[in-house]
Amino acid sequence: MLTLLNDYVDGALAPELCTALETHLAACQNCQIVLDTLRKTVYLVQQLPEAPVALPEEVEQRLFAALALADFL
Amino acid sequence: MTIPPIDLSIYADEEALLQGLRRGERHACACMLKHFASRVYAVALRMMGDPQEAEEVLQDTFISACKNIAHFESRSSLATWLHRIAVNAALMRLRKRKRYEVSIDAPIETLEGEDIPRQIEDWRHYPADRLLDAETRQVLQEAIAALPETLRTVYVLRELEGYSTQEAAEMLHISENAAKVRLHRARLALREQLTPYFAGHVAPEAAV
Ligand SMILES: [Zn+2]
Repeated sequence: MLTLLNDYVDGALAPELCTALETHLAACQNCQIVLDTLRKTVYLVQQLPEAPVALPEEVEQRLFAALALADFL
Repeated sequence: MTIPPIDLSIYADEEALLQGLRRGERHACACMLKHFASRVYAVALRMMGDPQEAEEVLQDTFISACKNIAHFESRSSLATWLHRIAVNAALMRLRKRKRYEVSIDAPIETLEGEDIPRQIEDWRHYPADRLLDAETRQVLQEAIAALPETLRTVYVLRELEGYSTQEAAEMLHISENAAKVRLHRARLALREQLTPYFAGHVAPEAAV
């Protein structure tokens, strides 16, 4: 079931299995919730790299030092 | 707040910066660090799930980049090239780490009963504008970092770093099917972890 749901989320499920899954989903609230929250999880994570990550100042200092470039800071 | 004593904006564009790097100019190297270090650090953090090891990957990456700049082909951008070096540096550290660890991992290439969803609370109606606020991002990042390493590496390569399942499998020297199973398990594990957080935050009137 979970492989099915994952493949479905990826759009990688064979058409006949899609139909079977959709028939089941229409009648099963729990699977619907799992599918929707799984899909949301995938979507949320894919947005993450857009978020800026701050380089901690001491990490930057040690990086410049490791490359003998500390005089540029 | 430190003010750079030397002007780092002397390179008009990436091409000029590259020429400086190829000539071995220290300015150019410092400039590259200033521009790309935070992005490389972000990749390293995602791959390693640990700030200290991420910092080591960050340093590995730029030491290697400065040494190998002659091999850089302008077909890709500098950012793409650095990304690939960072991923490779992270993979190398992960392999090294594994060698000193006694493997206590159960075989994980099959989906077992433990993967059955336990949390069925409904957070489908979680307010969309709050889905990606800073707090939520933090929760997500921590949840990813907390995944077991075998799951996290496939997951990060595939879902965050832009590689296909097949490419991720090759990079990790595992079969494509194993990579797929790990990817699925990672997603499910994340969903399980996020569910109590989101379900606890759904406003009662928003839940249908
Ligand atoms: Zn069901």
